[in-house]
Amino acid sequence: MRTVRAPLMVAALVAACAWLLTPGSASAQSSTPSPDPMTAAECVGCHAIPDIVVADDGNYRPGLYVRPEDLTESMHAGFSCIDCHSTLRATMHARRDAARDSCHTCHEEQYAAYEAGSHGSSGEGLRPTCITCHGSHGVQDANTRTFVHRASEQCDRCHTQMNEAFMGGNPFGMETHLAGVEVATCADCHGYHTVLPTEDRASPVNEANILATCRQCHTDAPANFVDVQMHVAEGPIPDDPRLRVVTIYMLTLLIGTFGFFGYLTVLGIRFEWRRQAERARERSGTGGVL
Amino acid sequence: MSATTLETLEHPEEAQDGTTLVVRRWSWWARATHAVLALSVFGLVLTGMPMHYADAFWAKPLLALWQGERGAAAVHKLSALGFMGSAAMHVLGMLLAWVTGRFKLRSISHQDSIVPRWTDAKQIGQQIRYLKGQGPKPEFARFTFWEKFDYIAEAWGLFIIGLTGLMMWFPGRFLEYLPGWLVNAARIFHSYEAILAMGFLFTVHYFNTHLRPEVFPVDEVIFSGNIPLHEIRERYPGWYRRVVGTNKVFRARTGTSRTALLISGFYLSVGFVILMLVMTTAALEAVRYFTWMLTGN
Repeated sequence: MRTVRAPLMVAALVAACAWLLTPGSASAQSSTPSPDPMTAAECVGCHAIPDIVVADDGNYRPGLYVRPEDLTESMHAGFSCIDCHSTLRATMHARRDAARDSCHTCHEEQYAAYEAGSHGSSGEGLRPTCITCHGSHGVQDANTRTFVHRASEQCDRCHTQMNEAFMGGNPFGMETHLAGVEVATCADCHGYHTVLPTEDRASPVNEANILATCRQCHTDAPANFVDVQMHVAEGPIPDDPRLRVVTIYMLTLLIGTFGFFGYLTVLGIRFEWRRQAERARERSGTGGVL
Repeated sequence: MSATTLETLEHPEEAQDGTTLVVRRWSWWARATHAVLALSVFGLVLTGMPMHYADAFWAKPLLALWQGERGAAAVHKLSALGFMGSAAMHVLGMLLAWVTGRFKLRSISHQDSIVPRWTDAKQIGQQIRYLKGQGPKPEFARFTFWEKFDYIAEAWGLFIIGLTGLMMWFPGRFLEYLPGWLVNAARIFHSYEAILAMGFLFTVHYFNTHLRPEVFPVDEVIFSGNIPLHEIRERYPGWYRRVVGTNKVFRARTGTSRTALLISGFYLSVGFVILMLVMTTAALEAVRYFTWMLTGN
């Protein structure tokens, strides 16, 4: 926990100068970050107001609101805001913030791994960044199963079809769907940080590595294990012709059985209805035949 | 018991001592097997359905009953053992009866056997005509064709659902000999077969047993094992002709016990609720699928 104390103002100024001289460097990784002139307390004075407005136009900007609980419950609790929002100065609010580029200041290794994969800056189109999976203010311990599952939910934002097929169609998709955190999810097979296309020989789901990936959990997995399809198309009829035959057979059995017995049941109810009515007629008409 | 006189046959309902003429329909072993089976099926349904329809509004609350999905999976596997255990009990019972000579293999071709015969196929048409008021009631033997279907479907369903369940439980073992896509197929078989079995049990099976107007809310035969002779005369005329006047007819107390009422009430109501929940969700899913097939989104 770091707080700014008045006697340390000089030290703070020195640190601020050092930080200004080495923009974007990894200086903060080597030692504990030194106190900054701008404290979280100062920033949240305004940014913890849920309906924070911008002075210039008086408009509400939801993105400017920071939940104080996120900060206090964060792995980064006690950090100064500008540790991450490193390009922000008190007088420079208008300048575009680049907080997500700050992660690599400390997490150099992870950032390099991320850059090496298809989600890195060499990739095309919309790409996830650190905070897509890890979150920002409320960043949590990544070494938990709960985190792996929550982070993997983000894959769905782009890989919608893959995700649906995985959740609905694979042999343990039901349990995955229920967020049973011990069950494998996207990151467990596809990896994280360095996410690669299946065709890439370094990918854990490439045919060269896939069996080893399965064996992380299924230690006894035989070679055939890799043929189990983990992404089966969502929808009533699967794409795989063999699975299509199985599905159509079962649907026919289902419809046939309920159709036939439904028909018999309807006939039976009608029969019973008529018999009761007839009995009632007999009783009232003859005063009892028996 | 004593030989039945013609007089008691004509007025079989109640004797002075409160007993009724009955015939043994289910042995105590068969009833025990059915009890294990019924309990297992409920354990399987109440854990499996919320896993299959994980998105449904009732899935999470139902899983909370089992302390979450891990608890539900454990109960599902435990119930699966009971389920397969009931099959083992049935086979073991027949084997013992065969060894002791009470069950003869040639009896499966008898009219009163539960094994389907050509007569059953003919009786389907006869029954439809009878219900339409176009013909006489079929001469049903000890088991009607829909009761035989219950038995055969249960045996076949248990085999399929048990085998596919084991394939998903121990994929490594099975995949040493089988191709991988069969595990995917197992998942499909397992789900549909479960819905088929549950749908059949909680509608057709219930309608033909406890929900019949004459016996509602409890068909006592599965608890006492005895079926009143007058019921046989009405429902199983063929069997009646063969059994009446033989030493298979005896006197026994009948009437619904409190325990039977409680057990039957529990199974009927819980079964009805879960059936309604699943049917609602399945119907919504079907609508979604048809929309998807027609419009492509």
